[in-house]
Amino acid sequence: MNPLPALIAIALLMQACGPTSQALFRGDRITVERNFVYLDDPVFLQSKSGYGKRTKGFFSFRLPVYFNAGKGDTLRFGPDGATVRIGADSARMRDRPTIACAADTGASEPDSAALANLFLDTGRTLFLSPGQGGKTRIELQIHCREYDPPWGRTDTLSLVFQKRTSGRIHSDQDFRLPFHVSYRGPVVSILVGLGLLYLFTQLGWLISDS
Amino acid sequence: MLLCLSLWLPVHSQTSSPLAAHWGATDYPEFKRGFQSGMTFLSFTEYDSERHRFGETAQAGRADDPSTQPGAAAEEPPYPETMGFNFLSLAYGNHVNSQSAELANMMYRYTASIGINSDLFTEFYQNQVIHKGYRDIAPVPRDRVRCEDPLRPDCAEFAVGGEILYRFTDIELQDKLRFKSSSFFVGVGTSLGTPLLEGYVELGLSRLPTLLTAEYLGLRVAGMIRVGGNLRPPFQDPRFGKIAPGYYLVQGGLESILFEKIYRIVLNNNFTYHSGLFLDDQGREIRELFWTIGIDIDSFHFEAFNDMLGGTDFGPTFGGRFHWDIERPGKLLGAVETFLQSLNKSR
Repeated sequence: MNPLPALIAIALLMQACGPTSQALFRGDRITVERNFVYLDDPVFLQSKSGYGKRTKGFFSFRLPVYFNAGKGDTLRFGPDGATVRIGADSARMRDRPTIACAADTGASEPDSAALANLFLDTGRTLFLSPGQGGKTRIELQIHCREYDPPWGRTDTLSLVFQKRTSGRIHSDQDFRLPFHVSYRGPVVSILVGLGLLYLFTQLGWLISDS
Repeated sequence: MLLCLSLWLPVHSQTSSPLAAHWGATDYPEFKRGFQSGMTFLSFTEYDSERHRFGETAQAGRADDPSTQPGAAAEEPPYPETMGFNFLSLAYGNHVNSQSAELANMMYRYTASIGINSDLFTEFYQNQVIHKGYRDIAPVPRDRVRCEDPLRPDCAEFAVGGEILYRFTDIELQDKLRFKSSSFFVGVGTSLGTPLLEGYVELGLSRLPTLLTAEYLGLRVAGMIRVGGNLRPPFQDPRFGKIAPGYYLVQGGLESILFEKIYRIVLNNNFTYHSGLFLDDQGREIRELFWTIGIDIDSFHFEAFNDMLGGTDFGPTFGGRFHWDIERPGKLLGAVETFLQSLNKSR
């Protein structure tokens, strides 16, 4: 009995149990590189890692965040609120091209036609509020047009929020998040992980035997 | 359904598997939010490949010794059974204030595990794969296996665990005050299960990026100390006849991170000194030394641990873990998450 087929079966079962959009062999992971927080950040990241998805000229990813504001506050997020700059967050970034993005909070993942419509709606505004219980996690979906990031490059996502308290508008808050896109693929990763485990165990035995 | 639930994808983190810390598994806490699921296999053998019996100090412990043969009037050895622990775990961790930043200090982590006591997989792996297949050495014999038929009700294993972790914060004054998580942590936890009841405190540093940080290679060190107390579960026929009332373990290791931005692979090597969970026939703690290798890749974590560093091959002899992070919990796990968050409201 070889455990490998069983592990592959588990990987397939994992796929069957999860959303169908998961790429078994080739996908994208996005990782936010910011490793600090300011107390007045408009939102707090729930996780610094997530999945990216490429759909006919669009690159979409999801950022689960927690709203960071007092009771009665709202964050307004305009149609031009999300952009991606090629390159890391630095002074040189001003010369780099800007990618237009649209933000959404829907649970479903829109297809390319719905994404195109999202960009046509220039008056679209997204309001984020903490909800009654104050424990709402917001699944912020970011869709960027004509953006095809290579693995390994650091780009910067800029989210401009306008905070409102009882109708009064505070100044805009520019939330900058350097991130990179890397490879992900469950089946490949399981096989690579098992191979590395075998290799290093063998190496350990060699060392212990000698 | 339970299997499906535990395997929910898209996945993304370390379960606190019951018993695993006493087998040499890496014990650094996981600071990621969210669910994590995993499988753990632990082997406990009564003999080593040279037929020395675990826990017996004299020659009387040899399987070929007449006093240990059937019919001989001999004292019951301290650990007369071989066991294989096979656990499926689901863990959830979050900040005590779940709305706080991902770098906030106080975290909790709950783990629930179910499993079966069966030596089938562990015996196969030990003797067929390792001893026979790869190393061509004598197999490890079994005289008494606790659960020959693992589907018996008394072969079921359960465990629940909880941990509170405090991670220290670095505060920097840049354009304004910014907060960064440090590598230092302290924690307190408990694990209550059919094999063992225990409580512990721990402190250490994890993922300290001291040695090298380059684009395609990074080296980090980690180390921790854990001190705990044990109780035998109040069953008529406990898994282990004798256990030490207390223990401490010291763990340290090196991690290398490869291709951080393209396809992140983390290889870690850890060494563990354990003061002893098990007692010999003289009532003394049996110290153990373990070597552990772990691989983090994508959302998956693979780990293998072995007592070969201590030059032994019996008792808590080897184990393995495989776990993964659940990045997008479904409705059922979402409801569990809401319930756990409400239990841990800080205000």
